[in-house]
Amino acid sequence: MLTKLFIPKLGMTMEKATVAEWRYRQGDRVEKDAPVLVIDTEKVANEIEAPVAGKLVIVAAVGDEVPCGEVVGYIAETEEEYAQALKGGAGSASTAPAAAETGGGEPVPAAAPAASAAPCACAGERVKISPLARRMAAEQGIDPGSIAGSGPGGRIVRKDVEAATSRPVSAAVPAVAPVPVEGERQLRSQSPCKAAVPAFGKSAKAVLSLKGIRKVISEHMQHSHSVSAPVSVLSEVDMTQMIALRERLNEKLAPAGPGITYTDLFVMAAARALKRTPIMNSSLIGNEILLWDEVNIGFAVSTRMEDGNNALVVPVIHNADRLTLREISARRKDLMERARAGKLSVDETSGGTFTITNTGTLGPVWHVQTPVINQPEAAILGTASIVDRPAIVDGAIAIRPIMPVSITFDHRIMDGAPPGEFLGHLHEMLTDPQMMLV
Amino acid sequence: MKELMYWNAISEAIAEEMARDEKVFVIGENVQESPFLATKGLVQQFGPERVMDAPLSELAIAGATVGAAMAGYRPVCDLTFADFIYCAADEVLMKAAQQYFIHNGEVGVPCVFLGVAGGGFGNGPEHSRIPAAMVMHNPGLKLAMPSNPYDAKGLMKAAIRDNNPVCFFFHKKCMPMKQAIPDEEYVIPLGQAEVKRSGTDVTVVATSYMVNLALEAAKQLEGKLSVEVIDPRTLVPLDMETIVASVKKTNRVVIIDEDTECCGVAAEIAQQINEQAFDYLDAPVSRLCAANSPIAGAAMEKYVIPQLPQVIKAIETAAGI
Repeated sequence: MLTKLFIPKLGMTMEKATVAEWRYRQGDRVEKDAPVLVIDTEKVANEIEAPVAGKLVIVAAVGDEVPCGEVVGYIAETEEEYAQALKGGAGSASTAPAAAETGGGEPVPAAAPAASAAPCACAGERVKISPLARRMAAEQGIDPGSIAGSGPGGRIVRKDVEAATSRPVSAAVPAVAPVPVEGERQLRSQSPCKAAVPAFGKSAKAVLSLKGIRKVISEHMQHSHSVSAPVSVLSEVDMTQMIALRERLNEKLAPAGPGITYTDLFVMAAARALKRTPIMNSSLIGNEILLWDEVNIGFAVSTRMEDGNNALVVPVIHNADRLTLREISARRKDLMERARAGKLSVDETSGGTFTITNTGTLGPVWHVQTPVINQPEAAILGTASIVDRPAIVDGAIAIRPIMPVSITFDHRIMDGAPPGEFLGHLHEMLTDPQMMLV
Repeated sequence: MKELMYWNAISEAIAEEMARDEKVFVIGENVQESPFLATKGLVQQFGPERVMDAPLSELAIAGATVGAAMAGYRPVCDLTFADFIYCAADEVLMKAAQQYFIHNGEVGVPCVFLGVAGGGFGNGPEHSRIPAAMVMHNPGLKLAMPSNPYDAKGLMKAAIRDNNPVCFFFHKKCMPMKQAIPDEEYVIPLGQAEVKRSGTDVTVVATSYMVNLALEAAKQLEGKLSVEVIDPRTLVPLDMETIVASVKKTNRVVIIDEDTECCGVAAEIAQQINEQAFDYLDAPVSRLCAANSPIAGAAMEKYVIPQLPQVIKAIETAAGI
């Protein structure tokens, strides 16, 4: 029997995945339930296990982007099937399903929908691009998703592609101004290198290819700045009351459960402040600003990737406004642990309506940040380290634990007033926590 | 070279063809007096047997035309207003257009249906139409719509010589146009578009009098936009090659036509562009036509038929500004 391996649809908004790693080689014998394949979805890596034992036939190469539902390989139980699959599968994936029809193997993995060779109707926004621009982007090897459209309704037109091709593409070497294209290609085409690579008149000691989660973050960040008009508002909060509250709560709660973190308190306060300033909890989609009914707060988690670099994942606490502090805390802890283990489902990283990024864990060094909006959200809240600072208290200078806060909002959606109002609510709740009850 | 008015270019073409081929004759309502001047002076030159006034029945005139053509003549049938083609529809659309097909290519109907078309004078719903889409839609007919005197003469000569029935719609608003016409004979083959003005930012495909509005708009947009203006000159056959080559250059196109919009000339050209040049388009093909309304008369006409400001706006929009 010939059983197909295909990209499962792991979340509502998942459209495709990148083949990150084959754990076995072509023709290797794999056992049932052995992890054969690692795929990178937009935000998380997933292991695909072999549904049956047999010889592995690899169809999609590492680095290939494959829509969900499409076949990436087979497991053949006999030598004849292996030979047949190699013949059919190696040519093109489209001929493969016919061969697999006879297989009737179990879907892969168990959580995936019924086995189907047809690509699923994935949700998600189609990139609006003129036919000419699409062709030009394809010729230049540019992902249209990385280009900002200036045409009607954000359509990418010729001049946008021209602008995209005339600027340096490499994220690894941003400082170099006029980039010789040939040199850049050379640099990008190198896989992790051993020796120093000469490029742009300098030598690189390592070349990290832009792929997987790094590529996704890179695209999201650039997309955010190219489609929005971000403005950052910086402020600070006297955290005396918040610190006292957290200590009191943890004295009572810690023995019974996990401790309450500042992030938990910020999620709680922000959720309530968002209810009072609904425009902060919105998205500009097409020509409409959608004010979200739900308050789904994402929080940025830094994870360490296999190559030693940090990557950012944003798990979402859905309906945070309806959860108690304890529920928020438990949910946050669970999501964070699984984020660090790379075990988040796609749904757990999507559907956010607002994001908080807390850099307070970076250490007790006073700093402010101007976070980048997580599109298509309207704003993002940045909270930083709590550091003792001079403050005016009752007309005298006192030492107080001060936390800088920053809000980056999308000026396309709102003007300065709503973020100011939101900040006011937040300030009120953080300096006087009982206001969260009101 | 001599300067000729638009109407005079047409009558001169008919006269030259009548002199060249004795099978050519003119039939129509008051063609001897010729209120629209297209057959003016012909009766003095060729006599009433070849310039025949007919009773006021477009169906009968067109029927006589088809019969004479099948019998070996090359009649020029003057319907006066192009709108009256609807009265003669059975003879024009069913008979003239299809006889060649019905008789397995053995009987041709070489004739010209002449009509003055379009608005500009507030003549109202029954005297201001330019029934181009209807002609295009009926297989077997050719359609010429000259936008200036030079083209009018060359196209009329080609129309008379063609072995198929050709509708020849000349525009009321072009009547005062004057242009230098060569002394030597020339014929403009049916099916050859002309780039009336070359440009790089946006292509305007305009028909009949709209060509002149497009050229004026292009002039006013100079410095801001480089506009290419194409006049297909004949809508059947349609020179898509010239249009597609231009679209491939500019990547943007607007079609300006004076017939009403729905199922119109612009819709057909737009679809052919989609089929032949989709991957070269940087914006959807756009169009500016008469509104889907009867052509209003008098002062209201300008709200139905495209005027210069709308032409300019349409070109700017198509160019993405």
